Amino acid sequence: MADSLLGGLDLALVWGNFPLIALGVVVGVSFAAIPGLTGPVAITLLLPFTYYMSPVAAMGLLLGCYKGTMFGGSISAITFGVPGDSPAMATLIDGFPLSAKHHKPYQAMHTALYSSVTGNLVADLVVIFTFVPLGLIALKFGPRELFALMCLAMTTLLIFAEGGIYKAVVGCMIGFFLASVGTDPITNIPRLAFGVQQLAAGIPLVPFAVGLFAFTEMLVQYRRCFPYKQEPKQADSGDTREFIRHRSPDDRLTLRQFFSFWRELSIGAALGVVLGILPGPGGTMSAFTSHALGSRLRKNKGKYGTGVPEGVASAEVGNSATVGPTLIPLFAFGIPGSGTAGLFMGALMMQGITPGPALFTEHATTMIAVFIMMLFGTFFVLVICRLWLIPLFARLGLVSPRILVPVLVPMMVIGMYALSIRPFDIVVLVASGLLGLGMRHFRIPVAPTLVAFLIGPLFETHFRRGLILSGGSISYWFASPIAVGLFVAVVAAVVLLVRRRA
Amino acid sequence: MVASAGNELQTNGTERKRTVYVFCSVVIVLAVGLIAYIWSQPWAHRVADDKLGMAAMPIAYLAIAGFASALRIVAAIRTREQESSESQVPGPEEESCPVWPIVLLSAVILLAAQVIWLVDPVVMCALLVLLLMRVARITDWRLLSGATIGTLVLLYVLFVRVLGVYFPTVWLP
Repeated sequence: MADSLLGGLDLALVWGNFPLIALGVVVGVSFAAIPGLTGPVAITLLLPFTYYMSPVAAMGLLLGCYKGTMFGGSISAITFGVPGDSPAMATLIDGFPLSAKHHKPYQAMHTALYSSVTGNLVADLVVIFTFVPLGLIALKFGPRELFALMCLAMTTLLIFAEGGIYKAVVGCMIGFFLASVGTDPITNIPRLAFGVQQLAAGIPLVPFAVGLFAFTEMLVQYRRCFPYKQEPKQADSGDTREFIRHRSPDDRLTLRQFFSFWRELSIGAALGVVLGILPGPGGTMSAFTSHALGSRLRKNKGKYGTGVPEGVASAEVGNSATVGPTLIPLFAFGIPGSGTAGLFMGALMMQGITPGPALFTEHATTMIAVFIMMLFGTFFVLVICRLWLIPLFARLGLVSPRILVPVLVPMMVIGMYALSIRPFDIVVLVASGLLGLGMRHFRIPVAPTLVAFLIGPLFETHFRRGLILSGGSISYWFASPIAVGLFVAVVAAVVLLVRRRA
Repeated sequence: MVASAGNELQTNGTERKRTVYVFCSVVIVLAVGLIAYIWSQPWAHRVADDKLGMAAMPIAYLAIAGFASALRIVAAIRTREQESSESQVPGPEEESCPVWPIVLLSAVILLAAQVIWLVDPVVMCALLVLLLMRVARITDWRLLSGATIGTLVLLYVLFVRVLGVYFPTVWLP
C-alpha cells in the first residue's frame, strides 16, 4: 500500500500535469459560462487530445474540466440571468437577484465559487475513502452479480431520466443496439456490420460520444445563428456588467460570512454525495433539492428566491458535490452512472484501462495519482477563478455562436481525424450528431443512450457468460446473496418505475 | 380570448399527440425492419455455447424499443393525451430558425471527410472556419482573417508540433 502511495505521488507530482489541470479548469469554466455549451460538450471536445497523454495527465485534464464546468455554469446565471447549464438554473434563483437587484455580483460569484469548491472537496474525500472498501466488495462480483448491478444501474437511470420513461427506454435500447454492432462478445464473429467494412470492429466510441453530445450542440447553436426574426436582448445584463466593471466596496464576501452558511453547505454536500452515487439524478436534481432543503431552514424562511447568498451556496454545493461520487460506480464496478461518467469511462478505455475491479488490483498506483489530481483540480478551480478569471469568464457569455461554432467544429473534425487517421470517424461524428439532434427533437434523453452504449458489451458478456456457467439452470442466478439482493433492488426499482408512470 | 387560448391548447395537444404517433411509428417501423434484416443474415442463426443465437441480444433490444413504442401509442389513444406526463413538459423545440444550416453544416463536414486525404487537414480546417463564419454572415474581414489564421496556427502547433500527430497529407512543414 505504501509503495502504491509513493508510486501514485510519483506519477501525480509531475510538472507537466499541472498546466493540463489548469487548462482543463479554464476550458471547463469557459464552456460552462457560455449558455448552450455544457460540461459534457467541453469534456467530449477534450477527449480526443487525451489519447496522446499518460493516463494520469489525461484524467487530470478531464477532472479539471469537469470541476470547472460545475462552477462555470453559475457565472452566466449570476451575471446575465442565463444559466450556462441546467444545474445552474438553481443557482440563478438567488444568484441573479443578488447580482441584478442587490448589485452584488462579486458576492454572488464568490459564494458560488467557495460553495462549489467545498462541495468538490467533500466529494473528493468521499471518493478517496470509499474506493478501497468498494473495491474489496467489487472483487467478489462475478458475472451474475455484475449483470444484476448493471440491470439496477440502468433501471435507476431510467427512473430519473427526463422526458418520460418510454423515451428513456427507447434511448437506452438505441444505445444497447448500437453497442452490439461489431463482433459477438462470446464467439468473436462479426455481426451487424451492414456491409460496411469499418463497422466490423464496432462503432468507435469517441466519435460517437463527441457527436452525440458536442456535434449535436454545434448543429443546434449554428441553426440559432439564422433566426427568422431577431429576439429581444436580455434585460438587466448591461446593468450587471457595469457593476462587474466597477465593483462597489460592500460587494464582497468575508470568510466569516461564508462559514455562517455551514448548515446549507452541510445539507447540500451530504445530499450531493448521495445523489451523485446513484445513477441518474445528477447535478440538476441535487442542486434544486439542496436549494429546496436550504429554504426550509428556520433562518431562511421566506428569504430564498429574493437574492440571498445562502440560496446560491445551497444550490452550488449540491451541484458540485455530485462530481466525485458520480465516478464511484465507474471506478468500483465499471458502471458509469451518468453521461459524464461514461465519457470518463471512454477516456480510461482509450488509455487501455478497463474501469471496474481491475482498477483496484492492477492500476492502484494510477488511481492514487488520479485521486491526487482530483484534489489538485479542486484547488486549481479555487485559485484560477478566485484570482483573476471571474470577470473574464463573465464576458465569455457574450461571445456569439456565429464565431464559436465555426471555430469549434473544425477543431472537433481534426480531433476525430487525428485519433486514428480515418475519415470514417468523421462520418460517425456527423451521423451520431444527427442521431443526437433527432433524439433532442423528440426529447429522448441522451445520457441513457451513451451509458447503454458503453456498458452494452459488458452487459451482454456478463449475461451470456452467466448463461454458460449456469448450464441452463435458473438457480445459478440466485445462488449468491449479493445477486439476490441486487435483483430484489431491481424489482423494487421496476415497481417504482411502473408506479411513477401510473 | 378564452376560446382562442382553448383552441391554441387543443392545437398544441394535437401536435404533441401527432409527434408521439410519428415518433413511435418510426421506432416500430425501424425496429421491425432491422429485425427482418438481422433475421435474413446467415450469422443470425449461429448458436453459441450459451444456447443463444448471435442475433438474440440485438433482436431483444429492438423488440423492447418497439414494444415500448407500441405501449406508448396505446396509452396515447386511451388517455387522449389530456393529462399525460408528456403534456407537462414542453413539446419539441419549435425554434424560429431554418433547417438548412443543419443540412449545410453536416454536408460540409461529410464532404470534408471525403477530401481530407487529398488536402492538409490543418489547412482544410482553417478554410472551414472561414467558410462557416462567412455563411454565418460575418463580414468583418479582420475577424474573419484573424479567426482563420489563428485556427491555422493553433491547430498546426497543437497537433503537429505539440502532439506530434502524423497526417498523411501535409502541406505545412
